[in-house]
Amino acid sequence: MRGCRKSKSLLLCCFISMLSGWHVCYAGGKFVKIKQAQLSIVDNKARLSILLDFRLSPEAQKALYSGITLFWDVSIKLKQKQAFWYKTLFAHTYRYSLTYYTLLDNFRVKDERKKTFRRFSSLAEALVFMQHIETEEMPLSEYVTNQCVISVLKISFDQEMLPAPLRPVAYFDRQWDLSTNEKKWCE
Amino acid sequence: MVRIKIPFSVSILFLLSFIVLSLQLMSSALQDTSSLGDMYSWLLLSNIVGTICLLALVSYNIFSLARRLKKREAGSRLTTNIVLLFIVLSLVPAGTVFYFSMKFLHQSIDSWFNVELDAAMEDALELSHSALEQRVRWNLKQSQRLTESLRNKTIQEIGLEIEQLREIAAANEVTLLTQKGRIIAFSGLTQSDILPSLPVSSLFFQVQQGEDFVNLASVDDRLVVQTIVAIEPRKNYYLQIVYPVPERINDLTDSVEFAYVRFQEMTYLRHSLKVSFSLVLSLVLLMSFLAAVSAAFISVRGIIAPIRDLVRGTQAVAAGYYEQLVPAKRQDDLGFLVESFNEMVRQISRAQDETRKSTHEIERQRAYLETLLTSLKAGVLSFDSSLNIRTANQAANIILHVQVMRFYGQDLSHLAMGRPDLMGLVDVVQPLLEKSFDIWQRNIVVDGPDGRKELLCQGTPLFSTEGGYIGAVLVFDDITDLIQAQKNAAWAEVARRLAHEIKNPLTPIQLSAERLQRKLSAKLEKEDAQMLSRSTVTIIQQVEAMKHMVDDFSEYAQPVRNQAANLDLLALVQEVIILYGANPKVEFELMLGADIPLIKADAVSIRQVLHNMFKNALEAMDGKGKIIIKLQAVKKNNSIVVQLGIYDTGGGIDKNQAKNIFEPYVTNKQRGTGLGLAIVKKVIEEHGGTIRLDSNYKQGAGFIMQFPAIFEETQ
Repeated sequence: MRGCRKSKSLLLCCFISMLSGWHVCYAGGKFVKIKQAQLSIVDNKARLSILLDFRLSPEAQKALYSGITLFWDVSIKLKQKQAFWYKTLFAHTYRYSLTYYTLLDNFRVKDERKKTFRRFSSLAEALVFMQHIETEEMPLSEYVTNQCVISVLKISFDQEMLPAPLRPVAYFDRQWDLSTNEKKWCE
Repeated sequence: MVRIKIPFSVSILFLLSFIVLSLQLMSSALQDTSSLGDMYSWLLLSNIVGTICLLALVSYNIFSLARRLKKREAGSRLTTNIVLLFIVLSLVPAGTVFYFSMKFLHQSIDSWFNVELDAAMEDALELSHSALEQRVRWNLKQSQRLTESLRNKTIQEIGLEIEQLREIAAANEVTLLTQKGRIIAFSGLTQSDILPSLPVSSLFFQVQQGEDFVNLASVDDRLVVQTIVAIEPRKNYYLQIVYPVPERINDLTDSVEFAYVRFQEMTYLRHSLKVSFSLVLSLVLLMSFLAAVSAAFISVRGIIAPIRDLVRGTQAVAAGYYEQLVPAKRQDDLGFLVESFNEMVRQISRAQDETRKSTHEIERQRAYLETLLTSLKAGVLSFDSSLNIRTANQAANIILHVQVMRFYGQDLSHLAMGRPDLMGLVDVVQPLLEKSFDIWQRNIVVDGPDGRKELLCQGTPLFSTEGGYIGAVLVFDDITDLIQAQKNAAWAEVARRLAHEIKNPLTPIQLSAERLQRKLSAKLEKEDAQMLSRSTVTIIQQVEAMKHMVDDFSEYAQPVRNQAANLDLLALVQEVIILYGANPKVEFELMLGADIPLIKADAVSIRQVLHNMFKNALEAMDGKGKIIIKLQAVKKNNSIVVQLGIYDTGGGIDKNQAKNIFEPYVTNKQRGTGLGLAIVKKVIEEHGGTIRLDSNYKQGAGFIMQFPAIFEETQ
């Protein structure tokens, strides 16, 4: 019985330590952060201007230079509070990819939805380009004027698009934490 | 409800199939070409969850097994052995395969990335670069030559000939630009090319500085060479020509790039690949191991179940339950064992039933014999072959006044220890038991605490069916009362005959003597007359005396008047004592016990008994002395009796007379019929009581009378 109690305590300690470690991992600083985001609404049409602090971890850069394409999802959700619930006025996810081309020695940033891309001769240029996101006009259905619009923004790195052998490592490696926290604000 | 039970083998097969399929899918997902790549994470998760489930199952089974081992449950040790065997059998080959697979895997992966291949890939890429650079340089020179040929032409002429220039250059597009980048003329290979693809402003700045611009770009996944060259001598105008890279070069460089990128990717994923494949292999090993252990637990359950049933059955048999048969579910060796066990249990049950019946019969016989012996008035002692006492009945205890049970296992002589009155019995019986091999019979007199007893003893040696001596039985009966009764009956008959034969002639004798006296006294001489008178007086006196004697006998012979009623013996004694209290020379001392119960008796008869006893005492003391009367309730043979003791201070009773003191004609007085005590004894016995001489009293004669006590309902 005493042994059982000891085992339970040990397990509990391990669990708490694991959680603490996980927390420290995330608290250690992110490679991608939302620096600024501004929503402007004109005639029931919204436009979101986003400024990111976009950096790649050494491991991600290494993977990129090794020919692995990196994908990000920019998830935007605009909501307005109703009587008892939040009504979603607009929701969309933009998907971008970053690829390095060895032969041409340039970087390509591609809008996966529009299938348009731009090439950059250096990674810094490509990242600077990716730091600024200007959305298209977003039509807001059932928008109530003079009432706060809640914007929910998150940039997520798609680990599932990494090569399969890399994924288990990416789940637990902080170097692959290339997503932002969810930002929520009201304008 | 019909419950469908999935066979064990199917369950195991299903489990293994699931594991193999899951691992196969995960292994396939690791291949880059597999469409299962997207599912890799889910497959990994499902495998981990499956492993955890299996681990939990195995842990639970191990925990249960440990608990069963601690409780020393049946089959737990066999389960442990089989599970350990399964573990060893599965772990050794699986571990070996795992080790070599890991080694082979790591070596194989490392072999993909040898130095030569790496250098070859680098060289191939370098070659592609060189080829493209050569192409770029050649295209630039071509552009420069073309602009050189335009030296003498005006801008308008160049604009008009631009289509022709594009065809000469075999370019995709040719564009005439101003210094500020404004398009003056444009010619494209396809109609859809409305606008030319211009370089970014930073690159155009390079051109403005007077340098020729050349760039390798990708348009619609095809390589193109973009050149911008100033038209001499007018430095304000530029000609942009976009050349296509030949199809063959394009494909080759594309192929080299793809291979190089793939190689780079694989090089980068080298460690991850090792980790992933090692993970898959480890999962294979772990799941195989856990599946084997689970299979061991499940399969052992099937083996252990009949063994556990057998143990349960054995325990039931040990506890005496023979009806619980073990269900025979299998047709193998264990099934045969179960069937054999059931047959054995059935046989034991039958034998047990028979034994139980025999035991019951023996018990019944023993109980019957015990009841018989208990109900016997005769005492029975049985002896073993060493003549130690084995059993005794209740009557033996009563007759011998000893708890014979205390002497079980001891010889007869131990009975006489502390009981000298039994010495005579032992002295006679012991040699007879030891020496006689035939039935013998003796009358033995014992002077016990309740008086003299005459025992009729009969000894019978016991022999087994084989003829061996196994002991003896001694049967003894107290025949004192029987002999006394016989004597009493004889004396009563004598008394009756005496009364009848003697009393009848006495009256004529008396009358004749009186008549002789009356008729002859006047006729005879004085002396003769005196002699006649003396003779007739003597005759008449003797006849009277004889009449008295005959009356006494008659009284002795007659049945006692018995009008029994509840009688307070103390009150009766006190009443009788008062009649004798007038004599100052005689002292009466009454010693009373506590709580003297009543007796059921005829008061007249008991008064006569008391008169006789006091009269005898007074006569024995010559009219002076002390008479002690002790009245108390005593316990006798588990019942209460009222005991009356009468002790005088006379001359006592001669030892020789003591044996027959209660028989008629036994007296130590000069005059007396000797019927007093005989009548007393007869009266007391007819009231269910006893009288005996107290041999311990030496100051005179002492008699002890005992009457059965009665208890009124109110008491």
